[in-house]
Amino acid sequence: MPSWQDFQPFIVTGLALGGVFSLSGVGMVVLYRATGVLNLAFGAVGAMGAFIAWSLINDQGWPQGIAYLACVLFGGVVTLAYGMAFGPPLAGRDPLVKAVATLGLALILLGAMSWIWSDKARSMVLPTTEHGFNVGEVLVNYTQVIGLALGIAVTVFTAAFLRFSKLGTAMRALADDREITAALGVPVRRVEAAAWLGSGLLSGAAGLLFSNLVGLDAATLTFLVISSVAAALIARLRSLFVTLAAGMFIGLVNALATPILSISQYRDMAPFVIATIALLFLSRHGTLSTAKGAR
Amino acid sequence: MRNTPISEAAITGVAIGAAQSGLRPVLEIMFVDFVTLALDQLANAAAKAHAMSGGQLSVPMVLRTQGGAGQRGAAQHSQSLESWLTHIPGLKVVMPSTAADAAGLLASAIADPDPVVVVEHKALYFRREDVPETPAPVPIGRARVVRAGRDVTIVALSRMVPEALAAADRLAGEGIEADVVDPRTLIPLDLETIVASVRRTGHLVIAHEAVVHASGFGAEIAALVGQEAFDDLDAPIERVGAPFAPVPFSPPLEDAYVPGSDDVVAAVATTLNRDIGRRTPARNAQGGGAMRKGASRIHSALAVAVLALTMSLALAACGGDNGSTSTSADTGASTGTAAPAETTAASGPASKCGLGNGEKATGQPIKLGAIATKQPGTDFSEIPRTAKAYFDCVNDNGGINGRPIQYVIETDQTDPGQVASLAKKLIDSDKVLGLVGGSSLIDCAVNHKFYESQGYNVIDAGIAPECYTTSNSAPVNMGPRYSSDGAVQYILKQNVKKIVFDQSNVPGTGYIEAGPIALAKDAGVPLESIKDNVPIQDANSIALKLVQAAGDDGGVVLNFTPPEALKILQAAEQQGLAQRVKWACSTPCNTDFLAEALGSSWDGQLFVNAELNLPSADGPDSNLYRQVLKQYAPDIPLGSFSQMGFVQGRIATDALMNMKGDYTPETVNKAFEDVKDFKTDILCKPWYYGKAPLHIPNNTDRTVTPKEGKMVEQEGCTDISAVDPDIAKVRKIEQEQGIG
Repeated sequence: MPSWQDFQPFIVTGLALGGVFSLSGVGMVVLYRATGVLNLAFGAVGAMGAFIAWSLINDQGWPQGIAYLACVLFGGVVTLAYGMAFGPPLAGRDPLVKAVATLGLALILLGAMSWIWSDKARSMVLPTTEHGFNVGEVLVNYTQVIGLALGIAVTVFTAAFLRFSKLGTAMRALADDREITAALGVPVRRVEAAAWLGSGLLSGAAGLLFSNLVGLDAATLTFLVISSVAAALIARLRSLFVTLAAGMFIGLVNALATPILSISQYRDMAPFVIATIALLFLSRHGTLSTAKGAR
Repeated sequence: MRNTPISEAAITGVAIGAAQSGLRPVLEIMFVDFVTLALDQLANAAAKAHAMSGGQLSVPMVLRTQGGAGQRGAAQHSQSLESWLTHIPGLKVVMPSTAADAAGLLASAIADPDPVVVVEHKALYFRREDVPETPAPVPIGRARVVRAGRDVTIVALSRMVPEALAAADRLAGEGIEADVVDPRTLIPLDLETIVASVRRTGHLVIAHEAVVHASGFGAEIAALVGQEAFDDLDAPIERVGAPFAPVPFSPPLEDAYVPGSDDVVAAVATTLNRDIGRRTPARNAQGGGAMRKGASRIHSALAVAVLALTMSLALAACGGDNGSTSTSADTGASTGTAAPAETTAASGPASKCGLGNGEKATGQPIKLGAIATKQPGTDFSEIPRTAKAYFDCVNDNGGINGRPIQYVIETDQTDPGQVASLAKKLIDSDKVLGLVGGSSLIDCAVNHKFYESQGYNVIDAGIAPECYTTSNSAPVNMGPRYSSDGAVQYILKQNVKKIVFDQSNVPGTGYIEAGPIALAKDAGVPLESIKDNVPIQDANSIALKLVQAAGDDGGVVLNFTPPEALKILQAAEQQGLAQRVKWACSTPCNTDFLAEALGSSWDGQLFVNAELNLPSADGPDSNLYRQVLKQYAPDIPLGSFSQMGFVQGRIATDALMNMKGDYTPETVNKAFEDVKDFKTDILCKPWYYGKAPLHIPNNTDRTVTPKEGKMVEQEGCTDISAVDPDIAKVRKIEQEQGIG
């Protein structure tokens, strides 16, 4: 069993990764609440954005900042285009159908990525990764800080947005009852479009951070969404703050299980073990999300 | 023309009888208000006759009447009662709004086999309009788009059509373009045209003169549109009509009662104003609406532009990637080191392709075949394609004593059934004489027994354990286990106190780790063997784990594909762990692409086992290898994949040239088996086949390290330690057969 000293750096990696899990989870929950779509293509869209950024920097010689912006924009545009094309025809179908449709997008993007970029070893290092500071013995780089901070910031901002802005109110109304909301004069399509776009931009940002914290690899980034889905499930696809906490928790458990070599190999199960336990608990005790404010 | 007493019931009854007996009567009821008196005949007789007689009777009758207010007719002579009639199945109801439509619809109504009620509006009688000499019939059930617009749909009936047009003109002055639709026929209703318009505009206003609340026909239209195009509506549907009150006789009151263009404008303003994001007061609403619509158009144009831009970027990126072959090296058991030939190629003398006489071989072809895996993410086809490039060169230089080599390349997608049938196809149908140049993830595992039974001695680039441990396969490369041995062996020389061996958690890890475990045990250094799931999702944690597990003065040996190894190495560097331990890697890491991605901080810090010489090395075969690629396969990058293909092609050619007698499967495979002491500067030691239960002819290798974005030699040819039991067996065989 490793010592406390040994565990310390894993807290840093766990929190950084957890922050980005939370960021993705929040993006998925917002979209789910506004449109009823569990977007399983969240990771693939971000991955492709990151690949495009990589190519722009390495093949086209673009400045890094603009390439990163292109990555985030790509996430927004593709997700929005998907939402506009497939959202309305699928609006009346049940959530499973909608989720599986996004899986289609994920697989198309995954195929496109292996076709365009093949799986050669690539890396993209954000400038923030090259600088860091020490907390005790542990080196923390700024990308890790950004991962954690962005996770928290996006959660807080989104919760406030849903609560206080007109558009946010419309999204919440939409989540409650799409038909009644439409009958009340909320332009359903436009509000949904806003949700798709916002969620897409988050997927681009998450893709960029993940490509740095985890690695620039199509399959990894596409399926990393699974941990975020687990965080969102723990929050029952409703509460943003529970998603934040769950994402952090999953990241931490995953990281802290790593140095214990006897269980290290099985740590990929962590998101689901945690989600299963949480859901079993919830089915007995009602809900984790007592914070109505986040709804 | 018959004048009748004023008895609406009698008139209607007579007309029904006339119609049933074959005439086409047109009866006139002076005011729609008194259609009440004929309702029994109309609803119970005319409308039902066809259905109740089982189709034997039809009532091709037209009831023409007029309604509407505005002519000071008071409550009993001003009503709009069309929705009473639309509720009776079997009746058709039309309401013309122009003179031409009135004539055209009447003509169609007379021709119609069913009873049709034509409801005109008395106020329209005083309008002047141009009508063609012979008005064309207007089909029943077809709406007319009177005016095209994109911001709001106005569906107007009868007199409200000119009112809606007046409203549209005013709205146009404020930048709002209204689509005005006149249904003309209420039953059957042309819903399609209305819905199509609503889909374009997202807003709907319905205008009729009848009482709007409590069952005006607008309610029906609204309900149908709601059902068909709910998602296309950006705001609730607005209806314009008279209040729920009798039509007043007092002229000022009647004027106030009758809806007009002002009401239509107000309704349009209301529906546009309902859109979220518009906070302007109602009176200014139209202007604001125009702006908002304008803005949304700009937004969609922007979205399209951005989409187009991103797509073109993706394509450009793709093109750039393809263009720069010098930066490509694929994943696999072994990977290529890529170096542009122009800059690094040494200029020493080169070997020759086959006879090297420059004459094209024209004799009967000698057939050879290969199976290579080619699927997204794993493409080994470069290996046989390079062998083919070499064979092409041989064929241009006299071939195999005048006979050209015909080479069949099959690709598989790691489907065992497919791989088994490909092997049968090559041997049974294509009748290839030998198998050389193949590199499949599963070919050895699936087919080694088949090859044994057919007596084929396969020359390949191996991945699966069966390629190294069975009697009928001899690889030119070393594969994951012996290359991991090499990496462990090198790091042991660095006097590490502990080794952590990490590999991807896939089937076959037990076979691979056996070598490193044996080596470490022999050296008295503890070795911890770890497996990590791929793709790696938490490289930071894994790097930390490995470094912690290895401890101070420890060593970490990785056996991963280049992208996965890169993740771990990069995470280690980012956390300042690169210097804490010694790092080594099995042969897949031997690629310039990795060296480039790692950057200079790993120069001399990472030691990679290399099963082949550097692609840029100087030597007769290395020089020929680069020439062949340049001339025969310029699209294939320099690297260990193409080196393996080249070496296999050379071994096979050499064996075929030296054999005597007929070329049959038996003689060719015997010649392959007899290969002994094949020398090439691409391998450390002469290559051999021989009869043996296992083949690891490549068991002496080099170590490379990254330097300025390229891999360079760190240690020259060194034997893989015979502490690995498999290597021990091979060395024994070598000794017995006098090889090596």
